[in-house]
Amino acid sequence: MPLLAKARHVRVSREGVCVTEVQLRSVAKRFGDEVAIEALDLRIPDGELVALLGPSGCGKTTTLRMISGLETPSAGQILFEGRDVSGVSVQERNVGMVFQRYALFPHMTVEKNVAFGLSIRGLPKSEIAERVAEILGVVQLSEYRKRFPSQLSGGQMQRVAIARTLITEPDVLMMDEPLANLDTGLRGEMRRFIRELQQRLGITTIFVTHDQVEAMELADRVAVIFDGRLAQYGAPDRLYRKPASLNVARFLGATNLVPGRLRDPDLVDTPLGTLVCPWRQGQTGDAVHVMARSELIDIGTERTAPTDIEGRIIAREFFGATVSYSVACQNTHVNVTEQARRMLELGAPVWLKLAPEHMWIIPE
Amino acid sequence: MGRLSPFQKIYLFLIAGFILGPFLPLIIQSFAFRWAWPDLLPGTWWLEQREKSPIPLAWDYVLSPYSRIWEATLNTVLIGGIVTAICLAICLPAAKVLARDRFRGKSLLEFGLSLPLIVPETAIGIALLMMFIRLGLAGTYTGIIIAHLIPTIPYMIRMLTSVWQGLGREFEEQAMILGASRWQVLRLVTLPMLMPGVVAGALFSFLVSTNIFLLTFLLGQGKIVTLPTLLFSKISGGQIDATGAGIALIVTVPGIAMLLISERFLREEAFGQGFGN
Repeated sequence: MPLLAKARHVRVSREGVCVTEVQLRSVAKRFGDEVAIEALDLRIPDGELVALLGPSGCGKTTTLRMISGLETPSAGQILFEGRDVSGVSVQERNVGMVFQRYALFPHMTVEKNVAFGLSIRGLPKSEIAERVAEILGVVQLSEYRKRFPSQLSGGQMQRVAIARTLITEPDVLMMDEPLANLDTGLRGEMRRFIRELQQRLGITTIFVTHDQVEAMELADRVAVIFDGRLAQYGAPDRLYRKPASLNVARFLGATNLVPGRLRDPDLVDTPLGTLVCPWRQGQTGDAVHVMARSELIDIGTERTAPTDIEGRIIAREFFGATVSYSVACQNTHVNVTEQARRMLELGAPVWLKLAPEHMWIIPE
Repeated sequence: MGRLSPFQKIYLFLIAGFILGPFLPLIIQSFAFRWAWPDLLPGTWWLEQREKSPIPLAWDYVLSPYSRIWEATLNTVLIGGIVTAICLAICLPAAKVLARDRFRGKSLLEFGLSLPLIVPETAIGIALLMMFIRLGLAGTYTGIIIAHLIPTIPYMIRMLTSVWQGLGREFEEQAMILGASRWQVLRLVTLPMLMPGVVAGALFSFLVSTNIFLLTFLLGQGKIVTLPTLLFSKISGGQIDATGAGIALIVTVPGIAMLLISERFLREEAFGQGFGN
């Protein structure tokens, strides 16, 4: 079967690469009595890089496996470019998957690993050799083609795994925790590599991660999943600044979540006093939380405006580039992070400035 | 590899002596004509007396058709080979389930599988004999092969279960996503990756099978001779003579040959590289 004789659901992008929109329609998955996914609706636009983010056991990997065809949904539909692929077998679905630990075949050389998808399709040897050489060039591993996987570093193994997947020209590329197994230096390199490759090929890419930083770093859009349910879906900066729920805010690392009660649509009574926040929705008397990102709070040693909040530094953490202070104000604590241009002393009285545009109301 | 210290060398020699030592008197005995106590070495060697002796001596007898050694060797290797093949066919899929799936009564089943190692061979042998006589399997190759499967399966299952446990599902899933059919996955990914365990398990069950005396003796009913039964018939008098020593040496040959073959086979595979993740 010729490799490029693909199903009808494929469109072709400007660069001539196939692009596919992936859509999940109330997809559910149960394992026995256990519900892994409740009812997931998700639209992944063609050519985008989307992260499925959530704590372990939230069902994100199950979702990925259902899209790849390794698991069958208990209910709902999975559509590629509007066509239901629920009944299409893994082999025929034409997707690519890079596993967390790469799953390189240990008894094959890099070259044989990369050629696997083509040689099982019985392509002529000369064509396989040509395409393997080409893709190894793309991932910059040409000189390693005779090595065995155990002789490669983590980053190299991942690039082999990516090459082995891309050579089959999948409609959708999936990755399971792509940066989790790499050390810090390599992470940045691999992140740029994946981003660049993805943009060059314009291939729809979905990856799973439990690490909010990894999701922010890589993705065009992030789908946050808790307990088998989609909690929020949007661009990383939106999720970070405007989380829809307390859980999302906490999962994305928010530290200042102050409980309060709505007085007016844009006034909230909190232990810190009455705060002015951008209006969202809700009625007077509603219990809400106010989120203020620690790096968006200004800290000063003098009062410059009547709305400034008085406090006292009770703890300090130094991270090199940044310093983090824990400030006791009224009956509560506020975390403030700023660049380490100066160091404020423990116990020093300080004034905090909470600008309305940097605050966000989260309904209960 | 660094050089060994004198202590390590002595230690190594002691271990080698412990393992190989018992064979030395066997070898000398097999070449002896007369070896009377308290001589350290035989007074008369086999070759010296070879022309004069009216009856065939040790190696002449062992290598002659009268000893039935060729028949016994052939039987041993044949039965061992067939038992190993059947054992593999049974245990490969069974070990996969044991390694990867959870089900009710699994621990009971695992216990049951190791029972043949705990229950005395005599008990199994006599029970089987009673059944096999009625079924007409006593004294047949089929009967002996079935009997040999009983002690070999527990070993093979254990060996293969641990290999399957080491083989994550993701390798097979990856191959499927890349478009491989079930058969291609088995042939190109699963089996090559299981190979070290398969070879080790096969070697083990072959060696176990070629060493079984009691079951073969009981169920073969004297009609089927293997190397262990032949040896036991030689030494049942309570005394090892030169021919007994010669046969004892031949009995070790299939095992050693098998070991060398598998060693070579394992080295040729790329597994020296190890499984990197």
